[in-house]
Amino acid sequence: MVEAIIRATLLGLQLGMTLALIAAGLTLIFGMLDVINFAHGALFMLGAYLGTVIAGQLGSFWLALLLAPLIVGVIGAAIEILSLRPLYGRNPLYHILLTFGIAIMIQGAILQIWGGQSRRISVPEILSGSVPIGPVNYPLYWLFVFAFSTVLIGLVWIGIERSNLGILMRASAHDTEMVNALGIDVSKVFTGVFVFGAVLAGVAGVLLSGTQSVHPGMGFNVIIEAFIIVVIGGLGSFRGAVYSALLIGLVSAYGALIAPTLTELFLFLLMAVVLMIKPSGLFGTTEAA
Amino acid sequence: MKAVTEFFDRSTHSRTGNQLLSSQGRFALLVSIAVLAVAAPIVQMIHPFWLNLMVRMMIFALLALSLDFVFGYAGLLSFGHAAMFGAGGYAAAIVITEVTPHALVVLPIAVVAGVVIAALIGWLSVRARGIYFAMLTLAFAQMFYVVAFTDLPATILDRGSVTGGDNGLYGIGMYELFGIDFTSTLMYFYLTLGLVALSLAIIIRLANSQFGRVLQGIRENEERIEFIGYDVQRYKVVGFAISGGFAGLAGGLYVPFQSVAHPGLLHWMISGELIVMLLLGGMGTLWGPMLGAGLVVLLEEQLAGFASWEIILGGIFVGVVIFAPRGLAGILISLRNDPGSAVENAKQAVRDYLEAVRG
Amino acid sequence: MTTTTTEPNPTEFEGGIVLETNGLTKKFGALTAVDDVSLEIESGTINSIIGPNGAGKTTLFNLFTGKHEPTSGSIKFRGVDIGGRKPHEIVADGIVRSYQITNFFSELTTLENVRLATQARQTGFRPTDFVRHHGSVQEPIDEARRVLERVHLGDVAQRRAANLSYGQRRHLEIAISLAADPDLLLMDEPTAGMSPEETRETVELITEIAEDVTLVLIEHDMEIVMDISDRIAVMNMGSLLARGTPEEIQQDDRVQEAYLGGGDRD
Repeated sequence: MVEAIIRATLLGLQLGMTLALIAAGLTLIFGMLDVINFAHGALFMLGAYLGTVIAGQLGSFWLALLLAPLIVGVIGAAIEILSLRPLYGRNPLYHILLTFGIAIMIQGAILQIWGGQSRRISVPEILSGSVPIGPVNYPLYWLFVFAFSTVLIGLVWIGIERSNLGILMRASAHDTEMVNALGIDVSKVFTGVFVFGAVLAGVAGVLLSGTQSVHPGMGFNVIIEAFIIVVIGGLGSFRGAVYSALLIGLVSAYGALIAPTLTELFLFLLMAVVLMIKPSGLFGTTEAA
Repeated sequence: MKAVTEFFDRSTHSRTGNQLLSSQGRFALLVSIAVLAVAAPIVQMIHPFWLNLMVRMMIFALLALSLDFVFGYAGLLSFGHAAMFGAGGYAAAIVITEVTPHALVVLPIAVVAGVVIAALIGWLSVRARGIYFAMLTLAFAQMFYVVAFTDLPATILDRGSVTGGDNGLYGIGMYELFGIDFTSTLMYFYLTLGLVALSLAIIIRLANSQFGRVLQGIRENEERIEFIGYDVQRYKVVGFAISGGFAGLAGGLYVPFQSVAHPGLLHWMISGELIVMLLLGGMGTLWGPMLGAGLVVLLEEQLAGFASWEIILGGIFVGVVIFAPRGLAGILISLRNDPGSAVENAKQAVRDYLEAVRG
Repeated sequence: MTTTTTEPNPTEFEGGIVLETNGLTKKFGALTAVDDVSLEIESGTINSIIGPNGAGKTTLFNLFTGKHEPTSGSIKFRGVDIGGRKPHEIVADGIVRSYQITNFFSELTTLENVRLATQARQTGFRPTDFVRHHGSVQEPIDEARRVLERVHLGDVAQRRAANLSYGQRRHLEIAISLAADPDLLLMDEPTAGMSPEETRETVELITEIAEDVTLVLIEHDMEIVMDISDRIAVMNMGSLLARGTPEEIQQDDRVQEAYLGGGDRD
């Protein structure tokens, strides 16, 4: 029993940190661009597929972890420039609809290129063992995923706190006039943020392709989870996204321990309860004067 | 027939300058319904499968109509309409199997199931606005999906099966009404056509009522409508419940026709597809989304053979958002108003797009 | 939350006071937007609230209309505490506000904008409200037309609100509020951004309205404020700095120092 709880806790933290990578991008994109990016899950899935393919072709997990997110970033740039840019200033609903369409396209393209069967990335030799943590024998790769995600999230957090980006987000980026006054080319910032979010999603994709199977439905599964995270944390709040990702990771892991078939129900229930108590999420901007 | 025409033709009442449909628009709707009614037996003779497809198109048109009443018309972004569709479907399946296949009993129960679920979801969600409302509706709908998928009611009631779990309920019988044989696709077509037309008439009437005007006001400016004295949350819940009733009816029509009720009916992919139908057709016009629904069902059917049909569907979708945000309805309306400048408008849209992309 | 449910009783008015606040305070986190404000509004008067931006004037309006709930203190309308009541209930009680920014239904016609407000008073969730065509319920339409005539918008009743001129939009803004049949009308900068000609017309309209409605204005144009107000309240940093007649305010040293003499008002 104790063993199972420790295992679930470790798993929950690892899952939560990786989900934080996805949710962080989602919330950054919302905070800056005011865009709810429905295609974020598809970008994550693209990262997983590209990672698996690159690792298979070049025989190096590390190269895959480097290259796949970069390619996802380039695709993200294309999406932002070619499709989102003409829509800024329109009803935000159109952003959701547009990115929903893009998600369908990416999913279709993946099915077309790689087919429907599921696959898995080959984990590098040095990460293939397991280590004892208390009474639990824990896979080394899972520890690596946790550590890697945590460091990355930490760096992003520090980056946001130290750079103008954080100030920009707080100063409401939709006030383009003000941002212009800071001497910043808004459209470049927007592209940059979107690409950055896409790269993070790509990284998460490659990392998770070593712990779960890669299949064409994973994009939609993860976007729902990421939305739950971001909504619970408060749209546009980076801090909220990270905390709530850890929460969701743990709830998923413990839920799987108690009633595996009802895990999804727990997550939705959690979101519903949070929203009914705080209609704009835990760290969402509250009403002001 | 005269009563029906009068029901549709309220042009004398456009004094507020705020008519949902022009009298020509209403006439066009009546003609479309008549054409469908006449065409059905012919289609039946030439290619029976198309008639089956047409029934599904009409059922999804009804579902899209129900969503547009809240989504496009009242600005309530429901991402969970599958819940009401599925509720109506499961209710119909269970009543037909356990109680009676009489259509006058089953269909009202399907409607009530939709109303009850929608009232519940609406009541729990209206405090949140915009995308948060959307996520709440999605969450509740997904909960119903999990409940049906895992057959939670069976566990709670300690019965063998209620929703049939991931397999769903199959072998659902057909409706009985006045001795008509609804296993004939043609007869089912007429039943569906009649109910869809009736629903459309009722929803148009609702949209033009004082209640409907308040819903429209909520879409246009939620804060102001509240500060001229309307209980916005109550209007939203009532609007949502009404919409849910029609979604439930659509479910009640769909399940016996397919003879199966499965958790997929409740899945958020249905809600997502519905939103695609709305956008493609033209949100807020009521008739546009019905057109959009027909088109999406048709495209899925026709393109399913291609491996790349999702790319095409997604591509059409993206194109519509960027170049024709008002959907098919918007294109048709501007073609009717000003057919001469269609080419010029298209060119302008492309120029605007290129300009925006350059930044 | 208050639990007062009794109907306002006209005999309870003290000296014709419609609105009375006592120690009214609103905090947003660490920021105190309205700080211990106590004032009375007399029936049938024109009152102005002046003060620099951020003084808490708009928050005060939001408290009166139920958009915000008071952190502490009370607001009594005709002797009944309205703190914590919902916005639509407060409108039904008789307090209505107009907005500084254009805040109407721009896709609807001018008439429909006003009709929605007149409809609010007599519609609800009765079966007929779902069934009857809104165009066949004559009373709200007639009344909306009367209101439009009153603000000189009768000619543009069928025009889409988005296509009105700036001056017309501001008048429509007032018309919508009037159509909700207020006893107490709160107007947020009704002459902001207007040409001298439009301003004159609007001031005329305001004095006309004041004949049967009690008015509270937020206004920056001192000439107008001094000209039309019966009573003026000066706010600064959330607090009430001074109250009195225009003459008293003009002679008040504190006001001179903190506000009027301070040069740049904004």
